Amino acid sequence: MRSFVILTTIIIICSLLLPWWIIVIVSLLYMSFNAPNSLWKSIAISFLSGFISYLLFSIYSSLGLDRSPAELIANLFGKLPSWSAYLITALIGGIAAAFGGLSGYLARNIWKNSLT
Amino acid sequence: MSSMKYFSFALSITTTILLTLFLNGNVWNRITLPPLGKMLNPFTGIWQNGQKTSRADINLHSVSIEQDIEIVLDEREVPHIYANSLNDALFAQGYMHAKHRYFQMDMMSRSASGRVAEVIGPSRLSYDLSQRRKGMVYAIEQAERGWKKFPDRYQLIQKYVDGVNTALAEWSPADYPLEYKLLNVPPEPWTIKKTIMIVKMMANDLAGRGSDIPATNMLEVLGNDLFFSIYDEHEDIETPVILDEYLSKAASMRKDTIWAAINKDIYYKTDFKEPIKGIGSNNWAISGSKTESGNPIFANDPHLTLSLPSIWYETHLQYEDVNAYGVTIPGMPGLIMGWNDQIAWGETNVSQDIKDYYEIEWTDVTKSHYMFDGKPTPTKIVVETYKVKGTVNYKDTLRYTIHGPVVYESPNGDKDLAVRWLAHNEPESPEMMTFIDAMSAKSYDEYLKATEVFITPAQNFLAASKFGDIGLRVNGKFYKKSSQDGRFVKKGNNSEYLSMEYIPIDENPQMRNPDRGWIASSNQVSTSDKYPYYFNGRFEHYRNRTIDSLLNHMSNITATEMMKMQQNSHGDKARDLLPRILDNDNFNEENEDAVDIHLDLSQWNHNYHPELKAPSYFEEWYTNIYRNTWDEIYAFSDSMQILYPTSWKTIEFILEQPNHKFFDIQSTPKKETASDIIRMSFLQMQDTMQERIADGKSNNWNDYSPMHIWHLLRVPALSRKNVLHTGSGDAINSNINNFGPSWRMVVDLKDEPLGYGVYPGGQSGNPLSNEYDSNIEMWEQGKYHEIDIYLTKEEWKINGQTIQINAQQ
Repeated sequence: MRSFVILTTIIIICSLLLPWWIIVIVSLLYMSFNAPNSLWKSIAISFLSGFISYLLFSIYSSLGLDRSPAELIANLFGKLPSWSAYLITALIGGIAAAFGGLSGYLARNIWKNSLT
Repeated sequence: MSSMKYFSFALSITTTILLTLFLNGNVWNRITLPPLGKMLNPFTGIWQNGQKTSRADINLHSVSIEQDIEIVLDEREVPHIYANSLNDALFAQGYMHAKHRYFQMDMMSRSASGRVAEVIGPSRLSYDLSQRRKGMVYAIEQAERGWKKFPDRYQLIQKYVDGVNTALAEWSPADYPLEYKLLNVPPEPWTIKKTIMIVKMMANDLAGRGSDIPATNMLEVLGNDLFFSIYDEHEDIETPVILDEYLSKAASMRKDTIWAAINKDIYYKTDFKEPIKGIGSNNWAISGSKTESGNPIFANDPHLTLSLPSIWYETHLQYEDVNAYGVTIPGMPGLIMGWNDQIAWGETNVSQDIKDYYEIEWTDVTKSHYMFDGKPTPTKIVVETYKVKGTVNYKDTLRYTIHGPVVYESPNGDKDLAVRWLAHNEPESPEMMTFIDAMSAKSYDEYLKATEVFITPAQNFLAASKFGDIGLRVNGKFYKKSSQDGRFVKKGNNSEYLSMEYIPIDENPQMRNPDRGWIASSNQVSTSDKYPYYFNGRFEHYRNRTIDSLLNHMSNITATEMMKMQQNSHGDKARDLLPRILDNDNFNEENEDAVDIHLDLSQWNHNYHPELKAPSYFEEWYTNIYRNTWDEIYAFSDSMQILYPTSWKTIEFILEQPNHKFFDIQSTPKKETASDIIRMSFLQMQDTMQERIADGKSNNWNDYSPMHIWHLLRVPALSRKNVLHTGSGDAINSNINNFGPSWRMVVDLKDEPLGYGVYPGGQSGNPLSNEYDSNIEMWEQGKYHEIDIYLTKEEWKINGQTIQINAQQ
């Protein structure tokens, strides 16, 4: 839980300041140094952090607007319902972070190995 | 085990990098991918393009302005600019154009200069090639050279450019217009050259097509007698823009045709495009003698491509003693159509042909020299490089001759054509000032002065002043030509075949305060054949007659009636033809469906209303009549460009020469007449209409002739489809395909002139703003915004926003 909160917070802060792909780097670096012992847990935490940070910020970015970006994004993909735009966005965040996290976990394994 | 860890990591990091590149929209091997991650991330992607419903005031500083500027955006986001000088007003106009419409400006400039493939990809390379081949880049460079000859004016345009770039400098990637995120390219800074590109794009759209090649083909295959009997240049019942009594009494009379100059031949197929039906405009001015109030009334509705964002952008500028309101194309400073506290002004396209083609006689296959006046003359070779998104650059070799660029090259090089276009010429006057000086014109004379520098695309410049003047000048540069000069492809080896002298502007067709009390133009022929100089072109034949007829009969006219007249959907083509074809002697009344259609058409009042079926029946019937009549001409279309006869000539043949040999269908042994064609075409129409019903389609006019307002990138989610519309290409309310009244404006020139206007779009280019398409519904319903330029700053600001730009030393 702690890792999830920290990683989500770092993703949001870094994404506000740097290009979108920082989510991959942040997840990779975080899991390189703080990965749980389980591969699947590392992937799950990274995925959830990316998913939730993208979901929360897309909801926040839609507040008080003339028109909903979600509706437009859903229409760009065909005539999908608006909620699918949030889902697609969150999945992109989740998948990008998960791959970063996975690489970070595997890097940490090598790193740990060379220390022991 | 350890190597397995390295392998796993290597595999994972490679996949991660590839995934990141994929989501970043990186492209390879001609495949362009949507940048999903870049585009959809909520921190800098499309989610950041949302527009807040309540907008906070903005304060900024600039070193490019002389004094502080205040811009009040009203609730429709129309900027009301309050500046102390023209320099500052244009800076503010540039700033607002960029803020609301930068992507549109950028795309238009790219379209003009053949740089679309750079942002879209290989699919647009052929478009870019055709743009540069026809000399668009050459025209832009020539214009830049010409504009620089007027340094004071050039600096003025630079102020506009500074305003544009000030807005761009405020943007981080999260602020880029949505389309840049879709295309995955950043915006480029604006330059004066890009403003020139917009000017040349308009020249290309409005005066960039000549019928020389198809006309030459037809002259060759039909022979002189038949050709001139089909393709008349003047009709008996034409109503030219300028009345005969106002024509120049120039001493020089029409010179005879130089037949030796015409290169009679058959040309290969080119990318020649027929003038698009629907592009055109109306304007008219009524003098006080015909209005209820005794004040002149001005009306203008340009029919251009309806697009999102709209081609027009409204602005209200107040500086020095100027208080002007109107529209311009983003990228161009000033107001193209509008009004101030003294006059109203606007334009329609003149439609004269200003593009001539010359066949080049090369000295050998290298095409390094061509023959001119008996001497080998060197060709200027320019290698153009095209950047293409996702693939390698493309190079094309262009050859320039004394006539202009070689636009078409034949397989053997024996029929290469160079094009000479007035828009290629280096301007000798500060043409860029026309729409800037119009804003401050206080009288018709001052408006004439403002517009005399304008070169191309030639326009019917019309104005009315509150002091009672109404006037129109067919304005632009034209060469003095001998008869038929410029109508056909000419031989390019003789200087005698080049027209070099311009018609003096004073001798351009013009008219002021005619006794009849009104002036109107709608792309019809400028003058009768009594005008002392020859011209040719492709002119409109119906709208102008409807306007003339209505204005002749109206009196005590009000602004409300003029708005209603702009919505007039009556088609004179249907009125002229329908009684004859309905009375056709061999109509088969046994067919129940045919009887219904016949009845519908008999009861129709020739108004094109969306819910009616009769307009669809008539247009489909007429299209078949046209194709069946001109089957001999269509037969050539597989091997060459053909020149399509006009509708009025077709109808004249049906009414007056029903046994003409063109009514005989080539593929049948029988000798058909107009009655046979009418009957056969009716049955074809009936079949088509039944097929439409079987396919689940409606035959209502709105469905038969649907109108879509496409986004510039033709992305359906950003476009508005099936817009409700009345009218047709032949009606005053000229709506056809995606062309229509792109701005409707009426100005009542009372003591404090009051304007009315609407366009089918909105001020903002942002699809996530309510003001992206907010006016479409009003436009569909034929409603207008009342625009009072005397409202105070505070009144404009209600539900609006203020942008304060402070001068920084």
